[in-house]
Amino acid sequence: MSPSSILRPDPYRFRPIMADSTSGTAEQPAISPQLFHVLLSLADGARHGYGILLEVQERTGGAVSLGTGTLYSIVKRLREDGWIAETEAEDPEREDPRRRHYRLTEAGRRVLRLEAERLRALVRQAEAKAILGRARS
Amino acid sequence: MPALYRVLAAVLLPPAFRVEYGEELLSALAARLAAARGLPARTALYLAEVADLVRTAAREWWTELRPGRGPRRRGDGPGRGARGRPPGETAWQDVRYALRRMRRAPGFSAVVVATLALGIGLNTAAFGAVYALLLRPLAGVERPDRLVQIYRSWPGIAFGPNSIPHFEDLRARGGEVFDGVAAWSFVTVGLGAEDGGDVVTGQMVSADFFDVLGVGAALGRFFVPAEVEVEGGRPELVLGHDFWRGRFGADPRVVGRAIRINGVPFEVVGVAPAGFKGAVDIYAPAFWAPLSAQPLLQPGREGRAENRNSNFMQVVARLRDGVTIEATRAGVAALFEGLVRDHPEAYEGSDIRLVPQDEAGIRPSWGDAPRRFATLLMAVAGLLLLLACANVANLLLSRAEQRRREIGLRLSIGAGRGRILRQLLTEGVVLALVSGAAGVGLASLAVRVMNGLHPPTELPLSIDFSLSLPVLAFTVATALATTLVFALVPALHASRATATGGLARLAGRGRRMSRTTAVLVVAQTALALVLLLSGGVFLRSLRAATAIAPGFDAGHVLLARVSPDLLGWDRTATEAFAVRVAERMAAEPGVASVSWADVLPLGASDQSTRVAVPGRDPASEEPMSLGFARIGPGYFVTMGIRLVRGRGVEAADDENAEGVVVVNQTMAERLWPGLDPVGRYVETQGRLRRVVGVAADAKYGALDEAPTPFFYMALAQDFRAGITLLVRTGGEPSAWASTLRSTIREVAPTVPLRELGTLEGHLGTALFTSRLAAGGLGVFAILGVALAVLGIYGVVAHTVSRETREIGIRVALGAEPTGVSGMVLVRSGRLALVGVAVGLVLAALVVTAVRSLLYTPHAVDPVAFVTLPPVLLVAALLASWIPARRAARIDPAVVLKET
Repeated sequence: MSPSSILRPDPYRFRPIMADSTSGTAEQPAISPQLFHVLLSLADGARHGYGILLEVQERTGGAVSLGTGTLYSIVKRLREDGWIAETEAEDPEREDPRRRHYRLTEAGRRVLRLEAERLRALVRQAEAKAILGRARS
Repeated sequence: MPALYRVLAAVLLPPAFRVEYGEELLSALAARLAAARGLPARTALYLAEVADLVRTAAREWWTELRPGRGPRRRGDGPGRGARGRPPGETAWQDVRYALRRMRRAPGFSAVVVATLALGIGLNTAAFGAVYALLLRPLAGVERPDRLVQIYRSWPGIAFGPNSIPHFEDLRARGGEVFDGVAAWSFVTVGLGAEDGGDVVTGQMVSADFFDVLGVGAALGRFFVPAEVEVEGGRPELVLGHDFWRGRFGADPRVVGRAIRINGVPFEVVGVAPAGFKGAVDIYAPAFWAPLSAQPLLQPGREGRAENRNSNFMQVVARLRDGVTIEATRAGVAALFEGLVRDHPEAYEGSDIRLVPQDEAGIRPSWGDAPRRFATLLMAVAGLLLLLACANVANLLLSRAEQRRREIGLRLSIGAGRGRILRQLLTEGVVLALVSGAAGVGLASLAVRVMNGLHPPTELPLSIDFSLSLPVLAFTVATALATTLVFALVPALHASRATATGGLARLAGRGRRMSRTTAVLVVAQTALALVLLLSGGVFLRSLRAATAIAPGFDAGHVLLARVSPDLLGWDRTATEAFAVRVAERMAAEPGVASVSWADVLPLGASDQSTRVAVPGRDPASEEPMSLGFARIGPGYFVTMGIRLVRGRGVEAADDENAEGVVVVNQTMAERLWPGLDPVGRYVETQGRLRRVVGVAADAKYGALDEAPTPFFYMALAQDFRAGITLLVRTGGEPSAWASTLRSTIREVAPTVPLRELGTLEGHLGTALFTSRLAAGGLGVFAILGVALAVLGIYGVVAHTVSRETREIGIRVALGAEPTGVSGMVLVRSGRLALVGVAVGLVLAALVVTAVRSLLYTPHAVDPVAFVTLPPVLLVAALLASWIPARRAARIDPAVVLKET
């Protein structure tokens, strides 16, 4: 690798991936798609890890598939950041005790909303340029 | 299968992460795998998950170890570079970076990938073979771990077959310990002309065979015991899946059809499922026929089914649920005592043995040999992989040297040390996985070669060497382990760079050969020598095996195996046929003598029978079940076996004459020590027979066997229809092959001709394993030496190029070019010598461990151990010679100007 390629600013590579939870705006850079999907899967209620995997897979029709290891790496990260938290299972009697359930925290919900808004803003800009075929009439 | 994932998770994940999420992770993975439909989908998911686990582990270790670690700092805002990224993103970035680097240096990448692919591919192939032969559970069978094989044993025969009455008693009395008991035996039959008219091998089985193994029919049904297991039960047939596809084009209408076997119509009632091969899965039987059809399947051997002493069946049983193998052994011992009480004469001096299916290996009677050979194969393949790793480590090391500059630069602009270490390791993992993929390609080629290897046996050998899931899991594990070996050292080396040191290197300061490099040269030489010597010792062993005198003269003998029995011929017709062919062949010019026998020495089949000497009580434990052959007149002359005393079998020794036998020297010495055996009597096969001659000892079962008692009966006095015609010729025997074929065809146009060849070719059976071992290990040895030579060349060339300046100065100060190249040669020669010394010790240990597989008198074969090390030394010196010459040509003026 030549020194120049190290020094050359690469807008993609140096894009910070994880936005600060307190400062996200529509202009802020994205959180990673995988993180987004994990957060989104918890938007309508608590789930255990396998439940998250299933939900993401079903919702995206298999287009996004998280590795199990990656999922728990993300779960760990999100818990450290306080975006998700562990919660009681709805029916602890019937559940495998090894499975812990996770829910979105307020901060997590806000990050999710901000990211969704950012994406919507981006899509609108694209629509304005008729990228998605004819603009809606 | 998830065991590998579990182990990887335990080994790779950081402890904190493992404690917090490990159980949950495994539970989710299990649920996920269980939900995947179909083997291919599950395989793909599993491999993706293993890769994901590796990425996760790298990511988690990074968060664990990175500088300034604490709870992750909030607000790693923009501009903090990689430190603030989520793990997935940076790992992916590393992978892309690694791929870019590979693309940028295609030559380097190709060498690394090819070297590793060779190592990984051959290991995959070797493991595939070991797995297929020794480790894979019996295919297509329910709960193979609950099956046991049952054998009878006699002194000298550890795992002998069972007779049908014996099997029926086991089944009738074993209800307390067994859920079911089944018997099977290979049987070779002739098909009717409308179905190809050739000779095929299937199995005759007890009617409940499929029930005991827990198999369902793919088509139609299996045997119904009440219908076929009665006197004169209907002759029915179940086809093997491969045979059904190959011969009948997978036509489902074959069920209900009649197929002519040995001239008798058998009704096809069903087809076995694909992959099911019976109780031994290295052969694929063409069909299964009920045991009650034995007289039809083996014409001329009627009455065999009722004879308690006619042992030819294999027995497999399923343990009753909840009954342990120990309890079963005790139950069977009690059962056997009962049998001995009821039939004392039949069970005298014999015992019963149980072998759990998963411990049986290929055949328990082969003992440890397959396992030893498997261990050797894996060890040798592992050595080759180590050698490949050493080469790649060396390549990476020399590159790491260059990269110190780059790394120093990155450190100086603020990259973390852990980040760089991780980057280098990722590069290693990417290389290993790419190489692993290439290795699988290579392995599938090797598998094709292995599937093409057939020992000369008529049994329908069918070993599935395909790259199954466990084999691929092994490959992934190997590739990852490989990474640790070849990438870790250079990575640590490189990450030790300092910002200033690295930058200083931009100015290009050289150093002498590092200790790591020296160790690599020694290791490569040593490993290559181990491979070379293992190959050499097995080649010597093959030579020794070829040189063993088999006790007969195999040159100039033509043989033809014919099976008139499969046409249902009676003995008069068969004998008339043999005699006519013999007479006509004997009349051919250049033919010295003609004879026949039922089995040949050193063939795949062996037979033995009880022998008693009237008036002599055998010592307890003395093996009295002895090997024998049934022969025609002129046998000893034709085979070139010397008669020590008396005469051989003659035409006059026919059915109505007095029974005669010829014994070999060992048998004579054992039964009548110091006496003349000629004129004495033995009792065997239900008849008293007089000893008429003593033949010289020969090898019967294996080339390296100790002198074994053996005797010959007259075929006419113990008739057996399947015979091998033997023709001793004056010249190259194959020149008479067409004459023999046309003679047989003229005498009997329809008689199945199963084999036509030379006696020397027939010996290939005995030498097959030796040839295979020597060939396989020879390939490993050549590849090993090639890798070592390349590796040494690489190391020396690299060192020389680093020392260019120093050498230039020396030359400028008056050093002779020869002195310079001499210095380079001496240095690498010294390292190679150390390597040879280490290699000699290692190789001696390796070959001593597999002593029992060798025909040579000493495992540490003096010829191999004396001649081969110098070969390697010379190769190592040649590898150093090219860079040494380059060193001698260094022009001081150019070098000094550059600095």
